[in-house]
Amino acid sequence: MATASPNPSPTALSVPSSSLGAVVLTESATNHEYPVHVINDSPNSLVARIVLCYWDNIMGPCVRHLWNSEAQGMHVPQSALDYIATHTLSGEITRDEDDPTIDFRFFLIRESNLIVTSFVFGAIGGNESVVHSLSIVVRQEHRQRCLELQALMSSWMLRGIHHLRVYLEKETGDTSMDRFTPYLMQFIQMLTSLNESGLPGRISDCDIDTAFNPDCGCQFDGHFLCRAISSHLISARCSVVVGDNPNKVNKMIATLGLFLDSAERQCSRFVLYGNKSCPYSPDLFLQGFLQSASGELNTSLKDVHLSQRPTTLIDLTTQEVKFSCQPHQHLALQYRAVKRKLNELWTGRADNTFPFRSIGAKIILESHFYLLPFFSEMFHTFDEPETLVTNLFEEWKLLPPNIKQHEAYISQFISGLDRKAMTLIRFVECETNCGQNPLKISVKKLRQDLSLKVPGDFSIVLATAEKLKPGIFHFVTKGNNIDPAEFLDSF
Amino acid sequence: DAQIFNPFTEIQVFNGHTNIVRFLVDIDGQNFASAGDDHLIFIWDAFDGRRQQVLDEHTRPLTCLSVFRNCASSCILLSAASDKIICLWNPLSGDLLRVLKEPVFTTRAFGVYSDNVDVFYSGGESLCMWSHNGELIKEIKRNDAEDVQMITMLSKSILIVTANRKMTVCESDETDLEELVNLPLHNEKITCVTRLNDSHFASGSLDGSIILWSSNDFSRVKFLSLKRQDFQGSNHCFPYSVQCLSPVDEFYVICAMNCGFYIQDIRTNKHLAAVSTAHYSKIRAASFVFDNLVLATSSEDGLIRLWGVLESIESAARVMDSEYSEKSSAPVLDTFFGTKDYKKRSLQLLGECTGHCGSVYKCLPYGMEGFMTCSADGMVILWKDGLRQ
Amino acid sequence: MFGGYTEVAAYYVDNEPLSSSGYPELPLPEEYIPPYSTPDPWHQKAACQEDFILIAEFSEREGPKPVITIPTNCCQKAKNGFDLNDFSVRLMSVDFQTVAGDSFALSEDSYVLVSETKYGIYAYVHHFTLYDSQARGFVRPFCMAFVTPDHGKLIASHKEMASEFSKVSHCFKYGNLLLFVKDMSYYLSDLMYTKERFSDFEKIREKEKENDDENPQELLLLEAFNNPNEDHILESVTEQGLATAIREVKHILDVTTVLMNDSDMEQRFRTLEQKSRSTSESNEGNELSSENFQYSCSLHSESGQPWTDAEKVAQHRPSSVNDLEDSWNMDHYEMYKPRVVRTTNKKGFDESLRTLHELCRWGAKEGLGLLRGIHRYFSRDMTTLHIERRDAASIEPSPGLLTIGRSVQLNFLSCAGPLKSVSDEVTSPCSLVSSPSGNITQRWLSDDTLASFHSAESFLSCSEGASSDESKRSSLDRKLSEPEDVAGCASAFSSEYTVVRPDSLDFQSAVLFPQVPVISAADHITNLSTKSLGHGFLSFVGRYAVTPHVLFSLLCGRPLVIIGTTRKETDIRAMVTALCCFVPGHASHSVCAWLTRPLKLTDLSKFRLVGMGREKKSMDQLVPNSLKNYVSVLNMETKTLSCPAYQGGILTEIYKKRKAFRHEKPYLSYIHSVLYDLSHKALFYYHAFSTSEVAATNEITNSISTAERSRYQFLSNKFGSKLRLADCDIKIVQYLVEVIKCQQIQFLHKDESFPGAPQPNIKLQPSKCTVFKMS
Repeated sequence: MATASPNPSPTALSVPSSSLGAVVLTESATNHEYPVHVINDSPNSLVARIVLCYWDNIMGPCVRHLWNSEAQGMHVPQSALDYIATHTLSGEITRDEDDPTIDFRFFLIRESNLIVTSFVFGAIGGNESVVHSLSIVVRQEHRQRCLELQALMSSWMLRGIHHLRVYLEKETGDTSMDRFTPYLMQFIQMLTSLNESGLPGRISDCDIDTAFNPDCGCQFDGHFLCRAISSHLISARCSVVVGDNPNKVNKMIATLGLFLDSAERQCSRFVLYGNKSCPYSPDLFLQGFLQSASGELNTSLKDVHLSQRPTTLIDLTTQEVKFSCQPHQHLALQYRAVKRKLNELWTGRADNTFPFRSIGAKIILESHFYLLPFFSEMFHTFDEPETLVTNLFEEWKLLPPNIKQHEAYISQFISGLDRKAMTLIRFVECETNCGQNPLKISVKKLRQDLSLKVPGDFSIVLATAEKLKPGIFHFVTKGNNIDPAEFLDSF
Repeated sequence: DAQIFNPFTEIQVFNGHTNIVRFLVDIDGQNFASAGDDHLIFIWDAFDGRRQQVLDEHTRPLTCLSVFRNCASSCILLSAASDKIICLWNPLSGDLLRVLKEPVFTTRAFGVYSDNVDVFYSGGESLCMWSHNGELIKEIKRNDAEDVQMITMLSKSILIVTANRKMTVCESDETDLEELVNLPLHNEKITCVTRLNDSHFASGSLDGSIILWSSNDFSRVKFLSLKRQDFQGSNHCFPYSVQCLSPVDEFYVICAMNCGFYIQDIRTNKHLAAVSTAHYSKIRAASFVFDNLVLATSSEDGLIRLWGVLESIESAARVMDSEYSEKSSAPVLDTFFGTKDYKKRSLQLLGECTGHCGSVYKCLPYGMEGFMTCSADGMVILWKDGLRQ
Repeated sequence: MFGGYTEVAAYYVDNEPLSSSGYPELPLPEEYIPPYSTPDPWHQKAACQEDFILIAEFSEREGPKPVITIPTNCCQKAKNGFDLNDFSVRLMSVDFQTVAGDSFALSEDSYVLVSETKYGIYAYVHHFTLYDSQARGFVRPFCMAFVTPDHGKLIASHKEMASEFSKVSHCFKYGNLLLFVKDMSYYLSDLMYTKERFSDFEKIREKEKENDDENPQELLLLEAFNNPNEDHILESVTEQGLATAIREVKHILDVTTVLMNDSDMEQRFRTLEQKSRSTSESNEGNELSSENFQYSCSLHSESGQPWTDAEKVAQHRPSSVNDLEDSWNMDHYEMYKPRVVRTTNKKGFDESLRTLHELCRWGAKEGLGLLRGIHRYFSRDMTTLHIERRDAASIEPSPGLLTIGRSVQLNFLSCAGPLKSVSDEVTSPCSLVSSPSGNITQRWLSDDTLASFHSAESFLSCSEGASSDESKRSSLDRKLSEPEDVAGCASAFSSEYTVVRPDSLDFQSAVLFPQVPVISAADHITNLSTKSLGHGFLSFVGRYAVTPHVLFSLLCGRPLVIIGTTRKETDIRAMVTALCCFVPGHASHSVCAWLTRPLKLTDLSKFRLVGMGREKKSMDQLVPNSLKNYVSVLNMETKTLSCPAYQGGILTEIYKKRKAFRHEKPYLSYIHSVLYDLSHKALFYYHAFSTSEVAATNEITNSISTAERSRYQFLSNKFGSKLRLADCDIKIVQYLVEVIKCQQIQFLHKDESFPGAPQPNIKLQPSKCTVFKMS
C-alpha cells in the first residue's frame, strides 16, 4: 500500500531535510520595527522575500513581518517594502474588515526590478480585524516563471492565509508567526524543488526517456501504461508516481509529462530522494516518490485531498493505478480536507482517524467518524475501460521508428482531446444557456450524443473540458443537484 | 464506372492556345511543342506544366510542325503556316533562327528522316530540299493542281510524296533531289502513308482501301483492305475512310477506319483484334501506352478510349516489375496480348479519358508517364498514371 | 460512477465530534473556514459576465472616474451592486506609476493585476500618463483595464496583454505628445511674448511714476500697444515667475521633443486623417462621427451629465484637419500669434479639461481601434484562446499544415523525424498563411467569412511586395489570358493569381504560392455568424438525407457542383457556405460560391466546391459531358445528386448526430472534432505508410507496374483495418494525405527560380456515380 503513517502533530510540520532553517531577527523601518525570519534556502530559490503587511490604525500601511531569503534577500530595499505596504493596502481603506474574501494583486516595482504577488485579506492585528497583505517578492528576471507558477503559488498562499488567520486568532503576536513559518518554508522548498528538479517546458529537451521514446522503446507493460495514462488524464492530469527505481519513476513521470502543456510541466517535478527529498506537495501536476524495500514511502500522502485536483497514484512496483477519489467527489473531499486541516490547527490536535487506514467498508472507525464507502480507502483502483489512449498506443507501435517524434505526436493527440472537449463545452452551453438552466439530459445521453460511449473516453474528455472550462465537470456530473457543500457542512 | 484499369487519373493541362491545336511534337523528352490555328507555338515543360516559350512569328494558322536534330546535334523546330513562310527555331531558347520566305507557297508537309541529318524537305506547291540551316538546295516545281500533302521518309534517301490520289517516289543524295517514279493512283484521296519495315510501306485512302507496297521496287504487294462498295457514303462522309495506320513490330499494323480499328497481320491479312465501333466519331490517332499494355485511341468525338486484353493486364500484375527494361525491348504485341501466340482476341474497353471537349487530333506516347493529346478545344493534356505521382 | 451523492447522503450520520482529550473546546469560528463555493464555469456569480475594457482617469476635479468602456453598454447588466464609478476609484486610488520628482519627468507605464473577489471579477490594469498644458503639473493620469470574470485568462495571457496594451498606450501617448509639444511651444512663445510685453509694461509704469505729465505723447504711443486685458494679466506677473515658467517649459520641451521619433506612427496618423478626410468629403454631413466615435463617452450621458457644447463639438471633430496639420508641421509654429499669459493658475476649475480624444487626436482613434481589437481577441473564452494558441503553433512548417474548411487541423511535418530529407527542406520558416493568433492584429484580417475569403484585400494583405498591377501586363500576355476566366466569380482569382513580374514583359508570369488566411476551429465556433463557413449546415443536414454522399465527395477531393437556375442563387450560395467547411486544403482557392460560365477542365484544379447557375434553358451546358465523370453534381432543379455512393461509418455518424445536436455551434464543433480525428488518422497513414513504403519501392524500380498497384491496394487496405476504417473512409484519409503531398510539391517548386508558371496537376477521379433523389 502506498499510504503512509499519519503525521503525529500538525505543529511539527518542519521539514525533514536540513537545508532549510529560520532565524529570527528584527529589522526596523523608518517609524517602526518588525521581526524578520531569515530562511536559509538554496540559491535556486525563486522567492526573494515574503512580506506580511497590515493597516495600522495609527501609522497606516506598514510591514508586520518579513521572511527573508538568505540567498536573495539583500536585493530588496526597504523602500520597496514600504511601496508594497502602501500599494497593497492603500486602496483597501473601504474594505470591510470581516470580508472573508482574499484579493489578489500582481505588480512590478520598476525601480527595484521586483515582481510582487500579493494577497489582501482581513485578519486579527492587535485586537481587531484589520486588512493584511501577504506578498511574495520575486526578482524581475523571474517574471515569466512567476506567471507560470502563479496558479500554484496562489493556491498555496490562499491555503496558507487560511492557516495564518487561524493562528492569528488563536495565538498572540509573534507566536503565530513562528507557527506559520514552517508552512512558508515548505512553500519555498516546494518552489525550490521545482527549480532544481522540475520538468522542462519541452520533454525532448531533457535527457530523461519516455515510454514513447523511439530509441529505448517502452519498458512498461502496455496495459499498465495505458491505464496509467488514462487515469492521469481523467484525474485532471495530476499524478503521483511511486516506485523503487528512480529512473523508472522518472521515466513514467516524463511519459505522463508528455500529456501536459508547457505551463503544467513547470508545476511538475521528477522524483527527489536522498538529501534533496521533499515531502508531498499538493497542487503539483506530477511528482514522484521512492519506496523502501518494505513498500514504505518517504513521504506522507495525507494531504492529497488538499490538492486542487484529484490525483492518480501510479505504483510501479505493484503495477497498480489508483484514484484519490472519483473526480466528481473531489470538490467535496477537498473542502472537507481543508476544514479538517483548519480544525487541527485550531484544536492543536491531529485528526488521526481519517482516512489513512485501510478499513472495510461501512465500518465505524474510532469514536466519531462514520466513514462513507468511498472514504473508506484513500485510493481506489482505476478500472474504467477506455479506447482513446489504447488506440493511441496501438497506433504509436505501428509508426516507423524514425518518425516517432513522440512529443509532437502526443501533442496532436491532446489537440484532438481539446476538440472533443470543446464540443462538450459548447454542447452544454447551448443546452443550458451557459449554465443558466440545469442540464436536463443524463450523463448517459450526453455520452451517446457526443459519440463517447466508452465510459473512460467520456471521463477523459470531460476532464479535458474541465481544464478548458473549470467547473464544467461539476456542472455536468452533479446530477441530482445535491450541493456537496450543504451536505458536508457539518463535518 | 469506376474504371479500375484506367491508370490515367492525373492530368496536366497545358492551357494557353485559343484555337484548335493540331500539332504536338516531342522535343527532348521533357519539353514539347504544340501549335495550331491560333498562329502560336508553345513550348511546354511536360514535367510541371510550365509554359517555357511562346514562338510568335506566324500570322496565319500553322500547317505543319516538325523537329529535327541536325548533324551538330542541336535541335531545330520547323514550323510552317498558311502565311507562306517557314520558320526555324531553337525551341529551348525560343530564338528564331531563320525565316524562309522563298519560294512563296504554303508548306503542307515536312520530311525529316531522323537524327543527325543535314537536310530536310518541305512540300506544298513544289517540293524543296533544304540544308539544316535553311539554305535552299533544290526545288522541284510540280506541274500539278494538287499540293504536296504528306512526305513519308522510307529511308535516308527515299521519300514518298503524297498529293491527293497520287504518290511519287523521290530520291535524294543530300546534294540533289529528283522524282523517281509515280505510283498507281488511288481511287480516292490518300489519307495516310506509313513505313512498316525495311521493305514495306502501306498507304490508306478515303475509300477504305489499304495497299501494301514494296520499298524495293515500289510495286503493289497486295491490298490489306479493299475498296468498299459505297465508300463515299451519304453526303460524302466516307464511312470507310482510313484515318490512321500505325506500324507495330514490323509485320503488324493498327488501322483506324472511321469509328473502328483493328490490328492486322500484314502477312496473313488476319485481324488479331478488332473493334468496329470504338468511338462515336472518326478515330484520329492510336498508340500503345502504359508499357504497351494499353492501346489508346483518340477520336473526333473528344474521347480517348483505352483498350486492352484483360488477362494480360491481370497477369502482368503477377509479374514482378524489375524486368521493365527487358520488357520494353520485347515485341509490343507480346506484352499487349500477354502471350507470343497471337490469336484473335477480343479487346476490352478499359477506360475512357474524358476531358477534351473537341476533336482529339494527336495522341503522343510520353515517356513512362503516359501520353499527350491535343484537341480542337485548344487544350493539350498530358495523361499521367495517377498512382505514380 | 456519477451522481453518488444520494448514496453518500444515505450513509451520512451527523455526529459532532466530542472532546475526547479533555481540551476545553470551542469550535473553530465559522469565518475562518473558507466558504464552500460551487464551481461557476460561466461566471454566473460574477458581477459582470462579459469581459470589457475600461478607460478611467484621475480627474483633477472629480477624482477617479470612468471615461470610456468597450463595449459601450458593458455594465448594463452588472449585478451585485457593481458600480463602474466605484470600480474606477478602486483602480485609480493607488498610484502604481512612478511618482516623478520635483521637476517634470516622463513617467513610464505600469501595470497591475487586481482581483475584486467580492464581485468575482479580475482586471489587468495598465496605468499611463498623458500630458496636458492646461492641467495641474501638466499631467493627466489615466488607466486602461481589461476586466474579466475569468482569472485564468489574465494569467495565461498576461504577456500578450501587457504588450498589446503597451501598443495602445504608445498610440495614445504619441498622439498626445505631438499635441503637447505643440501646446508647450505655443505656451513658450506666449511666455516670451509676455516677457517682452512685461518689460514694456514695467517701463510704462516706471515712466508713469517718474513723470506723470512729461511726454504724454510717448505715453500715448506706448498705451496704444496696450489693451486693458493684457494689463490686467501683466499686473499679476512677476519677473521671477516668468523666468521660472520659461525655464520649466524649456525643460519640458527638451525632454519631450526628443521623443518625437516614431515616423511609422506619424504615417499611420496621416493615413487615418486622409481616410477620414475622404470619408467626410464623400459623405459630408454625417461624416466620420457615427462610425468612428460611436463608442466614445456614452458613459457621460448615461451618468446623466449633459454634454457641454464644446464637448459635443470635440466629440464629433476630435481635431480638424488643419489643426492636425499644425502638429505635424514645425513651420506652423512661426505662424502662431503669441499672446500675453499668466504664469500661474492657468485654468479655472469652471473650465473642463480636454477629453481623451482632444488630448490624443489621431492617437486616440488609432489606440481605441486597437483596444476594440484587443477586446475582440481576449473577450473570447479560455477554451477558444487555448485551442487557437495550440492551432497557431502548428501552422509552421506551412507545407505540412492540413486545413479543412480553412480551419487548422494539424501539421504533418511537426512530428517528422530528423531523418526525412523532405521535412528538412521545407521546415524553413515561411509566412505563407497568416497565423490566427501569432500576430494579434493580423488575426483580425482573417475574418472567417466567404466574402473575405474571396476578397483581394485579404489576399494582398498577406502577400507583401507582390505587385498585381494590371497595367504591367504586356499586351501579349493579355491576349493569352483567357478572357472567359474573368466571367462570374473567377474574376477575383485571375487578378490574384497571375502576377506578372515587372521586370519581364514576356510570358514569364509567376503564380504565387496561394496565400489564404486560415482560422482556428475554436475561433470559428466562437464567432459563428451567418457569414461563417459552415453556417446553415445543420439545416442542410436536416433537409437532405443524401448528406453523407455529399460530404464524401468533398472530403475525397471530388469536386462538387451545385447547379440551379439563377433564381436559386441565394439558396445555392447558402449551400456553398454551409458545405465549405468540409473542403480540405487551403493552398488553393477551392470554393466558388457562384459561377455562371460552364465548368472547364482546368477548373478541376482550382475548385472543389462550386455553386453554378444559369437560365433554365442553358443550364445543362454548365457541366460539359467531358467533365461529368469527374464531378459530383447536385442539381437543384431536378432535385438529384449524382456522385459516388458513400459506404462507411464516419460520415453516416455525422448525419445521424443531427438530432442530438439541436444547435449549430456544438454541431459544427462536433464536426471539427470528427474532422480532426480523420486528419490524425491521415497523419498516421502518412507517416506509417505512404512516406516509408511507397517511397522505398519507388527508389528500387523506376516504374509502377500493375503488380505494385495491387500491392499498394493491399497495403492500404491493411492500414485501413488498422485504422479501423471502412473502404470509403480510407479514401478520405488517402486524399487528405494527397493534399499534404501536393502542398509540399507546390512548396518545393515555389523555391525554384524557373520562369513561367507551373501548372498544378489535376487529379481525376472517374468513379461510379449513383443518382440519388433528394427531397
